[in-house]
Amino acid sequence: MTHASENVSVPDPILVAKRENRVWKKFRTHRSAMVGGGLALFFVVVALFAPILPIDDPAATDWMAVRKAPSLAHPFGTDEIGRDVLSRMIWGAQASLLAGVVSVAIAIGLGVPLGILAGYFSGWVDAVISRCTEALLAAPFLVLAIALAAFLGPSLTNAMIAIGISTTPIFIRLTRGQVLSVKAEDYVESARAVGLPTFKILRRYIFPNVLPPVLVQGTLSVATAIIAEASLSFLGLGQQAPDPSWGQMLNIAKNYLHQAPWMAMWPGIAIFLVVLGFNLLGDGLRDALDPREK
Amino acid sequence: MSAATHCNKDIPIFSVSDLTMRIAGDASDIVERLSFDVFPGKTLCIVGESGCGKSITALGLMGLLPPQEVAVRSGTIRFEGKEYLAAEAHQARHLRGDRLAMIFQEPMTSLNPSYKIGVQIAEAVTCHHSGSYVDAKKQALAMLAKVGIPGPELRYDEYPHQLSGGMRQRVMIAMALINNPAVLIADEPTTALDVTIQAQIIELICELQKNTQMGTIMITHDLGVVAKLATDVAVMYGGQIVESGPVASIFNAPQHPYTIGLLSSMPNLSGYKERLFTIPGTVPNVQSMPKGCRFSSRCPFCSSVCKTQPEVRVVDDAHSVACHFAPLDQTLELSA
Repeated sequence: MTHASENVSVPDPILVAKRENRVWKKFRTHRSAMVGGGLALFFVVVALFAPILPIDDPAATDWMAVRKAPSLAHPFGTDEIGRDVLSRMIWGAQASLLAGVVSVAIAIGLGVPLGILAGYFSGWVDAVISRCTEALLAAPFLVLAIALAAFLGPSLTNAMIAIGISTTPIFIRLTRGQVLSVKAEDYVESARAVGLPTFKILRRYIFPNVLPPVLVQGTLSVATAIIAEASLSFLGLGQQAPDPSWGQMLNIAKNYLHQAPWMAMWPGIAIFLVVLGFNLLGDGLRDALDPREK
Repeated sequence: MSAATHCNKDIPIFSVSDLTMRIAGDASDIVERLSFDVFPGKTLCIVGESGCGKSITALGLMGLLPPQEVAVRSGTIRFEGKEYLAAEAHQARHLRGDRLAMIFQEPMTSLNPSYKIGVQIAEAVTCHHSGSYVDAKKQALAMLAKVGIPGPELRYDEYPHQLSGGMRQRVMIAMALINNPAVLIADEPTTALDVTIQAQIIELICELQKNTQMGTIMITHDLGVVAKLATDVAVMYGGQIVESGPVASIFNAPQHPYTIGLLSSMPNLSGYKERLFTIPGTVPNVQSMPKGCRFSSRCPFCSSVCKTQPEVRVVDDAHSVACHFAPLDQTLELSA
């Protein structure tokens, strides 16, 4: 063993270079991921800074400027009671992104632990969790979300809970599948041979190693959740007036498509861009985290 | 750890008797009536070709086989004087990694890719012994140095992918031995490594064993490793131990036709080069094991008597063999 000792006694420059995160490197050079990330980041920043941006009060009506086309005073035009569409768009971004992120957080928070339990313990635990998952998956995503939101009562919080619960089965399934493959890994066996308690194995050996695909799915699910929130708000089950949201703006705008097309155009474009952004970001993450493409 | 180091060397520290295991849904046993003893400071090598049940035996001995998939049908394992198989799950868990350790075949995949190797070694300490992480880290650093990893402080903070196969196997050994186990089970620890590293790892295990007086069960198909490490040998075929005894006795006077076949299929570096001997055929799978002697389908001496299960005969001091013809030379001479 003395032979091996002579090989590497000083820090090897190659090894040091290896420490630079390969995933980040790959992600950074992924063009569409950067575009997607930029789009997502733009909306996040706009939503975060809504209170301090120099824009009109989104609830302030102006009877002198009803359904006015875009102009210098109102760059995105005004709506049917003279509110500034730009400021409603910006405040609406808050509702959309909040709904996207919170509902996915709910779904991950519920789905990942359940998936880990189902995958690791198999037997009746798996049977119960998997059958419930399948029952939830049997109902179409949006229908389920609408039903839950209607059941809980119309509000943004309830919409987020409804979307979160409807998204959960995807994460249970994904996590369970990952756990099935990770738990067969030698390092889990060796963790058991070392005598680690089951909870510690789940937390330190299973959880971190099932995380990458969950992150990818999480990012993609944010996009889906944003659409779902817009849909619920469009139906009146999400954000309640007078607080702005894109879905609700579209709902009103559909009545004035001929007279004031911009009222529908801006929320449509915004939803399109933010969803595109999160999807590209998710795809980029998937490519960067994919061990086969290293 | 005091119990192990001062215990009587003539009393087996790990004793398996009549262990029979079966995979759920199979008609016959994957491992049948396994019996052997491991003594402190001694190494028992279990040899046999692929598929003879070596690795499943190792996992079974550790108690790592999921009970719903592999059923232990009979037998006992006594470890440090206590029944191990029947122990409560949490008691067995406290023994694993502390008093009873294991090294795996595949160092490349046996470490958690998400954590630094040092943390993983320290974790093996903290999960069995109360004490601070700082102490565990000190122990882990000392152990890393002991297993011949240069610059332990530097390596402590590295992830498994930053280490070579040989390094990782050293880390695995450090992890297994950090709590001074009384018994080490090594499942082909050198198979995945290249030849020069193999020699180093064997050397390392040898050295560490000398210092700690632990009993070792080495599972291997490499007779070179056996010659280097073993004090006792058990030859496995088709899930049974067909011959066992002290290493010198097995190598010099093999009695079972399978052992003879194994030994003659070793390449010889000196002397006349001829075609290497092979045992015809392969190990039959569990479902199609022949009745009676399991080796009968490949045995050159097979006769009608082999349709019945051979009993274990003691041919020499501690050398026993499960063959109708044992001791082979005398029996064959008589019949000739």
